[in-house]
Amino acid sequence: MNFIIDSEGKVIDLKENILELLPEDLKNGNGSFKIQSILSGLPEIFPLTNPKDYKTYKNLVLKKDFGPFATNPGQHFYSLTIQPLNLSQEAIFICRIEKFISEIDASFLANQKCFNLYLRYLNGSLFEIDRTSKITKILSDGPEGILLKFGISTGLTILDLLDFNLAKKFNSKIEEVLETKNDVFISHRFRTRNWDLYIDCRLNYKENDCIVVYITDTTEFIKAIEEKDAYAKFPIENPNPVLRANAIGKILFSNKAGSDFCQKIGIKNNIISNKDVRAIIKACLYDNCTRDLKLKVNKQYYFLNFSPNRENNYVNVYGANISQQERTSEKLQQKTTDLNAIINSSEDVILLVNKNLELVYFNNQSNKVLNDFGIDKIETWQNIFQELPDEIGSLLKKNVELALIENRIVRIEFNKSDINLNSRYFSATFYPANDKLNNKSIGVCIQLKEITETAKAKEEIVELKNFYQKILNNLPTDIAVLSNDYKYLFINPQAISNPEVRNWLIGKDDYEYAASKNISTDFADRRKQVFNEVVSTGLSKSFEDLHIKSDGKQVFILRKYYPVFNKKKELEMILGYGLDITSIKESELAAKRSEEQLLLVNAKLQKNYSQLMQYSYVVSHNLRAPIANLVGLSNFFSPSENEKNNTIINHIKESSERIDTILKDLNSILSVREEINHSMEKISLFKVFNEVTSDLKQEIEDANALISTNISENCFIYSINSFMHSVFYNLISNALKYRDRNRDCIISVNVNFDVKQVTLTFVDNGIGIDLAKHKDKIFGLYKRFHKDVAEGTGVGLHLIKEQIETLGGNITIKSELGKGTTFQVELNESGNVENTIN
Amino acid sequence: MLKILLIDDDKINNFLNRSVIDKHCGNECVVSEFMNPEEAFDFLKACSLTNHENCPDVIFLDINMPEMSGFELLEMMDLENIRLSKTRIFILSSSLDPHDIEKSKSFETVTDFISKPLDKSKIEKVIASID
Repeated sequence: MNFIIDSEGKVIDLKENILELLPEDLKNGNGSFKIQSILSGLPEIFPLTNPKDYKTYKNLVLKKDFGPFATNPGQHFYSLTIQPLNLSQEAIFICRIEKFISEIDASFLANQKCFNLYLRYLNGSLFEIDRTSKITKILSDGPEGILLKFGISTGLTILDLLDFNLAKKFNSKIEEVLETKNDVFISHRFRTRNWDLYIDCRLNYKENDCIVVYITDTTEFIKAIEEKDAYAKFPIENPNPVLRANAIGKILFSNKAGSDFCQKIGIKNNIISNKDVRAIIKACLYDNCTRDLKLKVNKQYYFLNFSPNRENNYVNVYGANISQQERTSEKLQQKTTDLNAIINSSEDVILLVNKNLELVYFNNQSNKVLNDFGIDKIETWQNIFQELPDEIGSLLKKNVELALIENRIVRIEFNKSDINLNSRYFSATFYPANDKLNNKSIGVCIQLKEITETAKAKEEIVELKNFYQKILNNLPTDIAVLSNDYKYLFINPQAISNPEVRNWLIGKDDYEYAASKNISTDFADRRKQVFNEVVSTGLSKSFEDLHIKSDGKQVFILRKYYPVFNKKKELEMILGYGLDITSIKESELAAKRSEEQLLLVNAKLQKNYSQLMQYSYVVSHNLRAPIANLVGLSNFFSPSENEKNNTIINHIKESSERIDTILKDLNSILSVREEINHSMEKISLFKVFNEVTSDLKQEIEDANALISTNISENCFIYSINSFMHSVFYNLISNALKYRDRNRDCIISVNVNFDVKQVTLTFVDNGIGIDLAKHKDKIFGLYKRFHKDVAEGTGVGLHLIKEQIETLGGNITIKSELGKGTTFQVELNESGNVENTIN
Repeated sequence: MLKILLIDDDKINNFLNRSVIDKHCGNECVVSEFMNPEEAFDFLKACSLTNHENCPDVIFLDINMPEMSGFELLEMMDLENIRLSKTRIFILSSSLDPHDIEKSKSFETVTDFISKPLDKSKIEKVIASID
């Protein structure tokens, strides 16, 4: 707001409502204006002498910033500017109060806007016009006679003004002023052959459709500003070249650096030689546009800015040596090119998103990979995460945000089926990108690396690993792998079932294990010894390991250490495996014990047997000799006349013969066992049968017996001839002896060949034996059951039983009194003898 | 006359044998005896060297003798290569051991094994085999 005060600080030009318009901060409590108190802080404006002559203050411009006020603290600052108003000889001042918010605003207003405004009231002239723009009253012509210059005098209309353009501006504004009753400003440059003036016109509404026009000459001011600006652009000290040249390239002004620059680009008669520069200067003046040029002179780069000033027909050229930047830029350019080449030749997808999650960069590979997933082109994208397939888009977005927020590198892996339904694996790395200079986050760089092959190989490896682990874990064998310095590399669950202990033991040895369990290191010593042997010889070695369980049970483990060598034939590790052989070991021990017992029994038996054999020898040699003598002597004895003696001798003879028979029988029985060793041979049963029936020819005839057989010439067995002869002889002769004399004697002898055995059957229809009575004694020595029927020694059945059993066979009897007897002889078939039965 | 030599440590047996031979073929035979087989060996060795007319036609040799068994005597004769071309050697033993019988037959110099006691049929068989 503006108002006018006199030299005493009294407000003289104040609109009625000015107090209301005043900012609240500037009002006193009772509404009165406190300008005095403000002005009292400015004694330099109003010296104590307080003269009223305008000239005292002619060149005075004062400015003061104040506020904020205590009534409304922190709200506004105010700028007060006071300028003498040269309207009359009496000193009056125009005050302008402007509100501003910050110091920057304040200085801006002060320097530019406000300053210009006040200047408009300087050097002013004053007249009134009516509605029709007719000049009704001239109040002041101003110090320079501006009105005259414009041809303004009473009775003329504005249209009569010398400057037609200014008149037009007036015309258009008069209506506005009359209607709004507000001030209107018109700026104008007035140019004639004689003058070049800048003026500001203020149209101020007065009652009765009268307008007061203030005209202020601002020429000096504007020129000063221009000059100031011009000179501001031409600091002599500027290290960069600054030139001013006219249309033909003649240098009007140059600083030191500018002169040097001109020397470099060439200058003759103070005119720039460089045609390019001259052409640009001309062009700039022609179209009034600025131009830039980059110029290389003697390996130095210069940037030249051409600013034309058409009014004055010259061009200002502002130059700068940009060699340093240019080279840096070239390097940067090269670097960028290289970087692009690297990024684009990468097989990985590289994307850069900014902080707003917008895609700002992608490399060539991106399209190629995304094509495989049916995505057309990435080029027009901005919001990449919406364009990508749902799950991948959200996955990437999530991790980009994570990398941004936590400002760290994030890595993930994921897989996705492409359009050919192949499962593809990717690793994505999110690098937060930072501008380190400014310590600012730029965005996130995403690197997508295809790892399908690796991932698949990994899966296969995992599958294989699981497969082998399954085998290793389920093998019913202890497996341990030892390093070449005797530390466990691997242990399977069979060896150590507790997974914690198992894992703990890896990298440790048996001694540490023993220490942890507080048990003896004997087992470790034992194993270490074998281990050392395997290491030194390079050969595998087995050993039996006795392990005592926590319940005290002994477990025998058969261990084997097996060395494994690497390609350089260095010992890499030692495989150890152990089998629980406790049950085998126990049965072995049991077998050993029973074997020992058996050997003991056998030795005892052997002793008994050899004693028996000695007796047998004694019988056959020593005992037999005197008996033989006795028999011989009693035979040789001639009967004497003494009858009694003869009887005695006969008794002696009979007794000695009986002893001799007994001796012979016993001997034959005892010798049965020895026979087996030497006389197994292929025997014709047909021959044996015929020999026996021939030997018994007389007895058969006496009994009138009928003997039938199925034994043919082709019946052979592998046996001892004398034994078979004895069997046939005894059984057939028994059948004859104990025949039933009330019926015809019928005897049948049959053979049956089975897969594994030969069965001989001797059937008779004799008197039979009471088996209920005699069963246990049938095959006893010197047992006779039919003493009254026939003579017998009681040796035959006993002898053949011994013989058959010696051959590994057996004999059984079935008999019924009065019906007959059947003897069945079963012999094991041994040897390859082909037999046929007719 | 057949010269029969008995080699047996059993005095009674020698008496019995001599009696049986005298009784049944006393006209044809002259019996002499050695109770010690070592002495018998020396005698037989001398016979083989000199081919003396006293060399026996038949020898009844016992197996079981304390100084030297009949088999040992036969082995020594084989060892010293004592060949009595016209002499027949019979093992006359009370042994019932089949091994003894078998072993007897294994000697080339032995004609047969005869089980004691010697009786009429046995001596007649021996005499007949010579004639």
